Amino acid sequence: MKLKALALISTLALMSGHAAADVEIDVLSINRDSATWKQMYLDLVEEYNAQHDGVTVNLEFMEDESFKQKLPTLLQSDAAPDLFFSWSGGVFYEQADQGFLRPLDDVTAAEWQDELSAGGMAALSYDGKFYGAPEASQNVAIWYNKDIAKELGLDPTKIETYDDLLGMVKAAKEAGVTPFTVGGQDKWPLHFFYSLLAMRIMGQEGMAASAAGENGGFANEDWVKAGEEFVRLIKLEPFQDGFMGVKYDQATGIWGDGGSLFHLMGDWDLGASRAAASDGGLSDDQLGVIPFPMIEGGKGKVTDTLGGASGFVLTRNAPDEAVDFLKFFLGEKAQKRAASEGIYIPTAPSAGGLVEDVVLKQFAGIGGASTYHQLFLDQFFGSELGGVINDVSAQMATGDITPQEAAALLEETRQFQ
Amino acid sequence: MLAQNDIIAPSQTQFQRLFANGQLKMVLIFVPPAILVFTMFVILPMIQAGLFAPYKWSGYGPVPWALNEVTGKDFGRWVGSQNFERMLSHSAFKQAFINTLLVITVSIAIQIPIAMTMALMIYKSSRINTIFRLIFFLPYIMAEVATGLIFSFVLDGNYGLSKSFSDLMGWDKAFFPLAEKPWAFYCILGVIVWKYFGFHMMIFIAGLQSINSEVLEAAKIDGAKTLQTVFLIKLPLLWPSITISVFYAVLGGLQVFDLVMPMTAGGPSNSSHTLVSYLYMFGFIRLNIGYGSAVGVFLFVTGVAFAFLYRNTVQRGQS
Repeated sequence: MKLKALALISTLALMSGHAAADVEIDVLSINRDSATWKQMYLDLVEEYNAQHDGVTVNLEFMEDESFKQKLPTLLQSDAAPDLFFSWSGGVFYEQADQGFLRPLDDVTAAEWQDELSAGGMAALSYDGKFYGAPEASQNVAIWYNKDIAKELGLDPTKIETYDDLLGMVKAAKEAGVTPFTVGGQDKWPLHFFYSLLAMRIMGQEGMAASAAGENGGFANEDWVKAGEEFVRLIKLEPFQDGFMGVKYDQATGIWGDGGSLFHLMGDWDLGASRAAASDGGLSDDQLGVIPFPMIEGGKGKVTDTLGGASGFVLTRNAPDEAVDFLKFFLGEKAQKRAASEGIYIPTAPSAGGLVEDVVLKQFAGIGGASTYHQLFLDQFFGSELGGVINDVSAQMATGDITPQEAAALLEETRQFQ
Repeated sequence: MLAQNDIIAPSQTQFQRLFANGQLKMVLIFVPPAILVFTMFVILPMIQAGLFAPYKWSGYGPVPWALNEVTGKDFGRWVGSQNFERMLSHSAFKQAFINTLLVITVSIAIQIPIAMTMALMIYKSSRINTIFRLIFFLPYIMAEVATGLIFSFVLDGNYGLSKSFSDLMGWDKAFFPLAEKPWAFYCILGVIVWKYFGFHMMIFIAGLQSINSEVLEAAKIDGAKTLQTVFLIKLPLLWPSITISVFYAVLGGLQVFDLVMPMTAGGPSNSSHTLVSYLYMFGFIRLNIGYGSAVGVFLFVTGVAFAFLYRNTVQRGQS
């Protein structure tokens, strides 16, 4: 009996001694449905744990929506992770503003800006401080179905202006082909049209001025013009029947089944549409990509890009080891692997050239040549104003409000913030 | 002194008797947990919502007026009545309010009459009636979210029943009711009627079964026709059941949420929100807890005002 007790005590002592010496880094990621992506994460964590005595990295995955819902409470609790996934944008700004994140020191920030892309780091910065490391860069462009284009005798690579695009929409419509598929119920796929039109019309300076409330904020002629151009497209009835009752994942399934000529979507759609389509989706040979065309007289450039920059950020109480791990987790080596395996388009310039996937390569090209990268407007402007941008995009698509009303609504929401 | 003792003594014995009966023990054992749970999960959140409503607050921090030590600012910002003003002028809120009124109207004007007709047909005990009761009650048992998902498939014009129907009618374009205004919300209304009429039917069946058969026999002997029995005897005697049904229909109508989310998520263009789905979408999803609380307060006041009025007018005198 005595012996047993002694053994128990010594075991306990051993365990507690072990725990004291060990630094635990808790990492919370969203679900990585792509098997190669998830495997890369697991490999990286295993490798890091093996190389570093006294540091244990625990990686957890959570489904996107529950991740969004739980994060606010999780960040305020003792169970807050040290590192977590972030889409950047308004939600991230709020977290940084309320002091829930740990800023990087200047040396590390400068080093990462150099190695991991300045644009990507900028997306994860707030008020002059940097809070994490970028991972994948996402860009939105117009996909087209080469088979359908050939049948219709159209060459989308010839599209230079928005009017050219509208011409092809008309031609497709006359031939009985759906020009665009869109998941209108989610609203954000519709906001891509409005966003890109606004970017082409007002350019980087105009967008920054709107955000800052200059020139009437959103209630100016540029935003009204963006709405009017969007409505010109809507008048042609470019979307599939019942587009307002369909979410993105269903819509991209329709696109993957060859349901339309065009699809305005980001590079992630490659995997998503193949997963959602009934027979594996469109092959690399069938897919073409063109940038969103220019509007004549617009102040923006055709090389201005709209997209996301996701990454991982550090929480307030994260230990120094977490910074070290982050560097490893999203570092050049990891990003190069992601690029060569076609997992995602990395932000690191040194890794960008390694993308081999035919389609992703085109997106990497668009991203690489970007003259101004605009974060998705519904994220960039925060959850409230961003939500209203989505709302008005959908309302214009259903003909419920005019471009003037949309601009006024946006400005009213901006002023309340 | 003596008089005082006289007064206290009997009450003490009464108290002791209570204790001896075991009644007090029961009260002491069962009431505190219930009150505690009720306070924690019902009363406190209600008070909180009232306190949060005049703030612009993203939900970070314990309360909007707490000081954030890291930033040196409060977590939220006092905006007074602005949340309410914005709510009342928001077109989507007005639509949500109209929709909620529509749910209530349809529940009372269509659902309850259907439930009553069914109840009158199948309230007598027999095997076949039991089977029908089960069939009509089944939709009520089904989970709301599952029901919503099923109908979102049924009403889909690509592969659902809606497509078959459109093909049958020979339309060249399939009909997508959930993508069209105002059809989207009419569909939700239809599903609500289908799902909940069984519940009201059960209330009426219970009421009908408790009607004294002698009254009905007397009517029969007096030569009353079927319809006369229904309108002059059964319905008046059912009045208490009907008032309860209406009460549930109104309060249930104020709470509709889980059917809306899978069917339309409030779309197209925020045209099919109810008050609760509006609250969820614009309060929680958009990280605007103060605004959501303001909508919650509105919902609460509406519910309480109705319950109070109804209890003191229609249901007056009923136990």
